[in-house]
Parts: sequence; structure tokens; C-alpha cells
Amino acid sequence: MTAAAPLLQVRDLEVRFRAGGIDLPGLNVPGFGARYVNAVNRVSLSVAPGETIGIVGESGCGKSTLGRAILGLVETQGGEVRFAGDPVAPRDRTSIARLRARAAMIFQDPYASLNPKLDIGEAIAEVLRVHGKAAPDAIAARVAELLRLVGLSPELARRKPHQLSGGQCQRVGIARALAIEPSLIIADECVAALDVSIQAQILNLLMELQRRMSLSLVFISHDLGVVRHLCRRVAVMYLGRIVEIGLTEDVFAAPRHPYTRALLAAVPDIDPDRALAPAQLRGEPPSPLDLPAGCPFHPRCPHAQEICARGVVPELRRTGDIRVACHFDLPPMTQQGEDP
Amino acid sequence: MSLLAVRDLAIAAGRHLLVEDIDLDLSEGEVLGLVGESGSGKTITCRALMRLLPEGQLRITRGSVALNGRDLVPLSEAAMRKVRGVEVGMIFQNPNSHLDPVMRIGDQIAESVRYHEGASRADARKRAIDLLRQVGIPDPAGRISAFPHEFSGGMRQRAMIAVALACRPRLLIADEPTTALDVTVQAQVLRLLLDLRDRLGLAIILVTHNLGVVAQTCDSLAVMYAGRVMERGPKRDLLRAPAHPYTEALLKCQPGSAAPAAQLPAIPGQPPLAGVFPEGCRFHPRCPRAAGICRERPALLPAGGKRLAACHFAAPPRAA
Repeated sequence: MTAAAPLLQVRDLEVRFRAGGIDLPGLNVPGFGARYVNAVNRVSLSVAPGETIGIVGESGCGKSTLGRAILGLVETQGGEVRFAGDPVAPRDRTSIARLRARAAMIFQDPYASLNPKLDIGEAIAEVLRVHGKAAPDAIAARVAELLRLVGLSPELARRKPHQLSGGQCQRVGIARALAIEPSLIIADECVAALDVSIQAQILNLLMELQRRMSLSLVFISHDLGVVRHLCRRVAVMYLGRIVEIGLTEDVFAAPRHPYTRALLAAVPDIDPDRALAPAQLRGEPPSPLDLPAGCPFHPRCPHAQEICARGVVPELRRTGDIRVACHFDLPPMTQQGEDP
Repeated sequence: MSLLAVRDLAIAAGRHLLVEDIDLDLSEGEVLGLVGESGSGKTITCRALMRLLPEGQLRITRGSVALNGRDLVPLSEAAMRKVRGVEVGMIFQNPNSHLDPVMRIGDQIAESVRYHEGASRADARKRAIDLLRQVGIPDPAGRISAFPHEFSGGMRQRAMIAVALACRPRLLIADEPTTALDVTVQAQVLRLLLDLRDRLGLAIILVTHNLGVVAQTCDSLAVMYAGRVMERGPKRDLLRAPAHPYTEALLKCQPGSAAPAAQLPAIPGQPPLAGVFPEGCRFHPRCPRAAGICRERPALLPAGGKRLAACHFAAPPRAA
């Protein structure tokens, strides 16, 4: 890992949502008590200044909730987030304000994350005003500068979001994030809604900005190809936990966790001479309301043994340069070949 | 003879031509990938094949859609109703909006069997169980009385495939069938579609924006841009050595095809809005090879091998 002090440190973070039921102390009627979804389950990770880390996993694995929890957008039930060494207290407004002055988020849906009634210039100026980033008479110039930075013509400042394309709106979302001059950006599926030709433009923009401004980037995505391209490190999540984390090239070249293997093998390759791989996993992720005992992956795991179903949840442990949450040391699988 | 032959199909919204010059051919057991970015016209083309365009908004202005030699375009609505479901089945991206939420899965499958084939309740039920088994739903006899909300996303997609196949159509039109699914489930559904093709000799039109999905499942490919087919032909030819600059650019800007962290060769600009297409070749404002001649419209011509491309620079040099 890098020698520099991490910019962001997340330790044992837990997020729980109530999913129906009645939350009354002492209520003990079966079927009526509150039920909880453990969306994020004791997740730890750190991000160095200027580093890009990808968080991947399928829907419901908790990757978006993790991103939101880091910025204090959802309540956490346990664990700790430290930003630049200072603990972020979710209920302490000043500590949240301090965090959000330096950390921003980019969302998936570029239209939904912009106010349809504000023109683009106003949407960016609002950020500058709230964070006191520009003197009132300098705002217009700064808005133009930010628009140019993300590759848009400053003339677009008068347009409303519906007059822009999806790619242009996503650039505006990025400009708003950059307006606070952040040191950390959390991008939640920020290219998922874009066509591939536009997606490439936005990825290029993110890579360029990240290098130029030495931003730390937490890139949440279900698209493994994009993460491989963009991120130095990657964390794979399954049902609220990180099951494997390491340098992207290591994880992609020789994935250790059976889930990572299945995930990588399931991505259709654009090589026309590779036949469709046999489906590696049966079934779908179980409901997070009703997590299986033991390793949460064991009902779908081709290597599951008795210990996986009964035993404790496997902790992340180091094997080589990767950390992996599996009871077994599966032999490294080179390339995305068949699982033995 | 091909199972489906589309010739010179054009679709308009009012005075605006949205899709034109569509020629497609499909034989039994063939999987044709219809690829393009949003707004390229792939979905409305599929809907036009089934004559499912929203009435009063979009209409077929030209061309023919021959299924087993019979042109569907002039057919009456009553005749079309016998084509849909019986000769052609269709599945969509979002099973939630195409399954009835208050009707049991089994009844939704049996409905078309009873309607089209006049089957008895018991026979239709038997068919529904058999279909659910064929699409890989465990305990089919128990699950036919489930409602869609009791199924997971992947199972709902399987159930929709069972509904589409209820009357044993020869052709399945699948519009982004795996786009809403996670990759591990997507792999299962694609596998299922290929198995059905092998077992039933089903021909499939697979509409997708995902070139990986195309590479792994299709036999042939048609690449659409701004309402026209830019290039079509055998999958391997198009993916290995694209003749059209748009196909080439699309392949190059995939994150997988560049070295990690390198700048991606993105296509500059954005696709034109429907109805305000540029003159001549519709790709020319974004094309790296564009020249003066590109203001004239290129025809879809042979471009080596079995492929056709609509580009002035793609055609093999002509003698003389």
C-alpha cells in the first residue's frame, strides 16, 4: 500500500436499513418485529491521496450505500469514517460540512441530479455560493472556467438540463463536483446511463482531471471493464461485504475469491472467437433480508464445503498482495479460464 | 429461403423519417445482433417488424417485412394478431412492465395457448409447466401459481421468455433482454437463449448496445446509427475487421480494448437527434475519415467477404 497517509479511511462501517415490521422496544411478537437489511457490513478500506479505487459488485451488494455512507448521506450504525485524519461524525453538522467542502459526489442519472428549473450556470453557481468558493462578482467567470474544464462551451450556461444531452448533463454534474475544488470524488455509476461513445469521453475526462488535480476517486460501478481501465485498486462486494480487495491488475489477472472469478468469467468478451462461457453461478444473490448463515456466498459457491455453511463469516485475510474473504486458499486461476 | 427478409423499411414520425433503408435477413436458427447507441432506431425497427408502432405517432412509410415469404406490412390488425405470439415472440428489457402483476405466471403463459390454439385448460396448464421447465425455472409445477413479484429479476426474465415461446414461434425478437440484469444472471439468460436456439431451431433478433453480448451470442450483426444500417454481415468479420468507420470507432472506444489508464479513442461529438439528421452520410460530422464526398449519401454495398457497408471508403475498389 502507499506510504502516504490515507486521505480517506473507513473502518468497520455498518449501515442497516429497516425493512418493514414495527420498531418497538420490548415488542416480541414473531413476524411483527422490525426487520433489517444489513446493506453495508463491517467494511474497511482506505484511499490514498490521488488514488482511484473501484467498488464493484452486482445490484444490492451495498456499493452505492457505502459511497453514500462515506459522505454522511445515510446514517451509519457502526464503524468509523476518517477524512484527512479527522473522524467524520455523522450527526455533527460541522464535521459533515468540513467533509463536504472537500469531498463531492457524481451520480448515475445526470438529469435527475440537476434541478430542471435552474439553468446550468445557476446550478454550478449555487455550489460556488454555498461553499463560498468565489466572490459574488467572480462567480460568472468561474462558472465559465468550470464549464470549459469539463469540455463544455460556456455558452451552455443559459441552457436548462432538458436542452442538453445525457453526456453534457453528466459533464455538468462533474463541473458541480469540481466547483468545490475537492480532494475526493465519489462517482456512483456515473457512466452507466451513457452510450459507449459518450462513456469513453467521460472516462477520458475523469482520468485527465484526476491526474491534473491529483483527486482521489472512489468509482462505484457494476462494469468491470470500466473499473479495470480506470482504477488502480478494486474492491469486490457481495451482500454488503468486501470479499476481495487488491491492485486491479492482480485481481483481474488472478482472482482469488470464487465470486470474483464467477463475476469476471460472466463478463461477455468482445472477442468473437471466445464462445459464451458456461454460466458459472447458479441462482441469484439471496435477499439481503434473509442472509444465509456462514459465508454469505456459500449457497452459490462451486467450492462450498461444510465449514462455509456452518462456520463464521470468513474475514478478509491477506494472500499475496490481495486480501480475500474465503476459508480456502484456492489455487490462483490465471486468465479467465474455466474454474477447475 | 430466409425466415425473415426486411427490404427498404422506413419509419416516420409525421414528416420526419426516423429509420430508413433497413434491409435485414435471418434464417432458421440464426442469431442476428442489432447494435447501436440510444436513438439509433433499433427498438422502433423491431417494433415495426411486429407492427407494434404507437398508432398515430409512428408509421411504416415504405418497404416490406416478409416472414416465411408473406409480407406483414399490408396485413390487417386481425391477421397480425395471429402472427404475434404464434409466429413471432417478443421479449423486452423490463419484465416488470410486460408481465401482468396481478395474474399468475402460469395463467400468463396459458393465456396465449388457449387463445391461439384453443387448448383446454388442462392442456394449457401442462404446456405452461413444460415451458417453465424449459426456461430453467426450478419446481415448475409449484411455480406456475406464483405471481411475478414472487420471482427474482432473472426468473421474471425467464418467465417472460416462456410467455413469448408459448405458441412455439419460429422467431424471437429480444429487445435488450439482459440490460437490466446483473452480469452473472445475464450469462444465465444468454445461455438459455442459445440453448433454445439449439433445441428449437429458433431464430433470434437480439437488440443490444453491448458489443460483448453480441460477440458471444450472435451469428451475424447489423450496426445501426442515426436510423440507418451502417454495416452488416457475419459477426466475426465485423468485429475483427470492421469496414465502416463507425463500427471501428465503436469497437475502439470499449474500455477493454485500450491499455489500462490510457486515454480511450472516444468518438467526438454526439449522435444527432432523431429527425434532424445530417445530409449525406449521417456519421460524417463525427467521422475521422470524412471528406467532401461524404455529403452524398452512401449506399449499403458489398465491402469484402459477406459484409455490406454504407461508406464511400469501404467498398472494394471497382474495376475500371
